[in-house]
Amino acid sequence: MATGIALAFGAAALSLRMATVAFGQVPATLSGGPPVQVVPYVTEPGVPSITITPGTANPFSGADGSGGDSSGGGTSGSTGGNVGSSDALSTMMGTSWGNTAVSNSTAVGVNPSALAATCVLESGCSTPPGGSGAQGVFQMYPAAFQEGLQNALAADPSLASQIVQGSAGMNDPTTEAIAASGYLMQAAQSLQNAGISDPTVLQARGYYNFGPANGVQLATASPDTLMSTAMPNVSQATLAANGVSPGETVGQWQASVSAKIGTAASQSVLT
Amino acid sequence: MKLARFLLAGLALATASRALAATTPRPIPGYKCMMLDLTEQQSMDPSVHIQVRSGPSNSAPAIGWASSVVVVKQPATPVGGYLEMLFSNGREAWIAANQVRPFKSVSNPSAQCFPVILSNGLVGISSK
Repeated sequence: MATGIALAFGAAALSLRMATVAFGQVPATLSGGPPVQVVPYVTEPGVPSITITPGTANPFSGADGSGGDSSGGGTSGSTGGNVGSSDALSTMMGTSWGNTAVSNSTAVGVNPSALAATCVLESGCSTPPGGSGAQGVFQMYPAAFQEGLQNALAADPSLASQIVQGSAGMNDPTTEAIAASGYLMQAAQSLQNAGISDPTVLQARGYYNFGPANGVQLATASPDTLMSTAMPNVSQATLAANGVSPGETVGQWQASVSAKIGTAASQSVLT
Repeated sequence: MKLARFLLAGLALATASRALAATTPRPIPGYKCMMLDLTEQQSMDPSVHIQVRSGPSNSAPAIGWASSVVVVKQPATPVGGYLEMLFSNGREAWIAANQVRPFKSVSNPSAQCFPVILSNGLVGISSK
């Protein structure tokens, strides 16, 4: 009987351990850029010509992002997971401006995967149709764009030489990536001031998406809290426009964000 | 044999329940939720920051920005135009009384809000 109880305790402890720790699957990454292109010496009629432009190797290929707290949620702890590669970073690195964005976000002190996760969530890192509201691959509104630029330039004044001046900058990916990095830095610092010592990408997401007051509240709400409770000034129409359904909880919203950005969710915003 | 299995299952369930209870948010007696007195547009504006201060006066040092829900000490009696509150890091703080209003969600007027201590020690909120 005593052995049976010990086995039951062991099984219970194992199941609890498995329930609280989940390590994300990280796909293999290429350390030296894209594969060598095959150059045919006999052309085949009807086959289109495909050219691969070699890019820059992923600078974080040595870090697989595993082993961190994959939840990264508002109540799962006060520490970020890590800084490293992610599917989101691979997506951003596949763009013509991705390499420059990685360099600039690092200069500001922001984890490139945090920046990449933002563009994946906002536009899939491709230029969306122009509009009068949020613009560019990072879908920033003018006020957030200006705040972000100021923060980024305060962190690294040399970035000024890369900035497209005026409102046109919002539709220049390099300029907007600098602004988004600066805004993510502000989000992380605000969350640190609120008591979260090492904010994760997931914890900072609310700040980027819904503004400072709502963002800090989302990061410090119990997962069972309704989104409508955590953001009491926000209308149902605005919640719906941001993909939040009636009755959705903070935990459900966090899970939906995590599903879109994978391992980047639990990574630290700041480097 | 069936009784032994039943007891073992009960034991495992009790162990799991105790583990979950350790991470369940705890209510904070003597405090209740209020909300920032902002429009929807203001609440999402990155340039709008409501200051939280270390004392009940305009000259007291600002210690941070208020989040959308404010955990206010009860009874909510202003001192010098300020209400005592808990900042999310657990620190006692003060916010201008004219910058908060009773909690009532615009999108869900029947939504409940309770101040809680989260599993990570921060002051937060819950709907239950």
